[in-house]
Amino acid sequence: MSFKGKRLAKEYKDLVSNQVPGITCEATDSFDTLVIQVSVLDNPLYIDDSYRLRFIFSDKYPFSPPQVQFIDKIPIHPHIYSNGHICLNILGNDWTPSQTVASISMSVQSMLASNNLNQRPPDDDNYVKHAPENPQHSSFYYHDDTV
Amino acid sequence: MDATVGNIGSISDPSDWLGTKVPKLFDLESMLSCHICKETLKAPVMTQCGHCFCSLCIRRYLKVNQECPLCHEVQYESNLVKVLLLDSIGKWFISNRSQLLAKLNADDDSVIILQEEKKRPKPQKPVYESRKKPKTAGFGKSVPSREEMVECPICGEFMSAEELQGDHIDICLVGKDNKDEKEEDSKEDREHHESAQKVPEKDIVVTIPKDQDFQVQKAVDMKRLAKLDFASLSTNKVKEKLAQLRLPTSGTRAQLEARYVEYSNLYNSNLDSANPKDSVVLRDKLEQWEALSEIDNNKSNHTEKFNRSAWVKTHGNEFRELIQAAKKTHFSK
Repeated sequence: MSFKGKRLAKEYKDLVSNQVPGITCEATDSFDTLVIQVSVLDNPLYIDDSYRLRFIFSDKYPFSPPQVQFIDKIPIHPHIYSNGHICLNILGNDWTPSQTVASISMSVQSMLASNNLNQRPPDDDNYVKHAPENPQHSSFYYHDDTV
Repeated sequence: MDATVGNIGSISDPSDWLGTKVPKLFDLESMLSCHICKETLKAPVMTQCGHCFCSLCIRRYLKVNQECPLCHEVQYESNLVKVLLLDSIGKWFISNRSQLLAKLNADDDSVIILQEEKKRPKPQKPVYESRKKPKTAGFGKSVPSREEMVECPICGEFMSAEELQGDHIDICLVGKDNKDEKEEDSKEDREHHESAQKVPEKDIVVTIPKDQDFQVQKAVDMKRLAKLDFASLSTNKVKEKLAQLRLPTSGTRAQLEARYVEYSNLYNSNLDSANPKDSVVLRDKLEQWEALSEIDNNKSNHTEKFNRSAWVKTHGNEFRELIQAAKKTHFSK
């Protein structure tokens, strides 16, 4: 089993057996992709919804970050573009191999939980028009620490 | 072979402890796990910032990014220090894990909950007074039961942990004549000081058995493999270096470099283990690694091709429209 496969198997087992409220892992056949359902219990903006967060792992995982984005229904948030891309430092420059699927899911969940702005990023239209398929190819500028 | 959900049961994980009689062992195993591979630490090394990882994992990561995965402090491979104690703890844990797990798997419903360690309240009275209690109070309720008592590792006497951690252990370490001292009641404090001064300083001679494995690592060359500056080396030189290490010299330039880097990771991390393996084993591991990365390469090439054709299929119409629009504006000029 490859390094990546072994580590993801452990992460998957942890996700399934050691559940965090509001974060559930969908069943999967292969560890190249995982889908996590994220729900936010204490924020009226997202309270009735559960969102699907898709992780795609390259063969360099965990030495390079997974490709993470929302699919289907995209939550409204000033750092989440309407194509599902998320502007979050730990998914790009600040990734370290000590991060896990669970820790990223929790970061995204808390990002939603602490938000009170019902709006998209200011450059949403422009970004979505030109965005590459893989959000890692966008050069985000992490400027806002408040939300 | 890649992991599938089917064989998930064979994967060991700290969460295995959650259903046992001692769920708190989850924390212990999590602490003993490498933050990079999530497995029990193998040949652990410590960074300058004090964080521990498997030697192989952190060496691989530092080739990608020279910082600690936990605190982002700048780290260099040359500053990694091996931690032999942690290595033996990890080994003990790996070899006893399944047995422990089986024993602790709760067939009855009793769950042993380990209490959070309470902060010891500051003793209001001097410690030596409370220490006398068991002797003077007879078998009153203040006497801790046998189970609560711990044995002093030096004099072998039983007492409460609190008492042992108080001044008893210090006194015991200074000299054995503290026993007589204890019998004395009123002037104990003063005498303690006097006797402590009286005890002559002995030269402690510890003989170290020389033939133990972890002290003399015989037959293993302890010199580490250096990083190569590939930019300044010709392909032939790289091949020469590989040949010196008895590694295969076939493949593209990129493969040769990757092979050297991975082998130096394996080689250097092997030296951080308490009992390093022979280089034959390392070469086997390198071979396995290469076979795996070859599969990965083939796979990713394949998906790339697939993506390209899919892309052309879905966006072909848009390209045609663009070309037509461009032609229109061009000819209308």
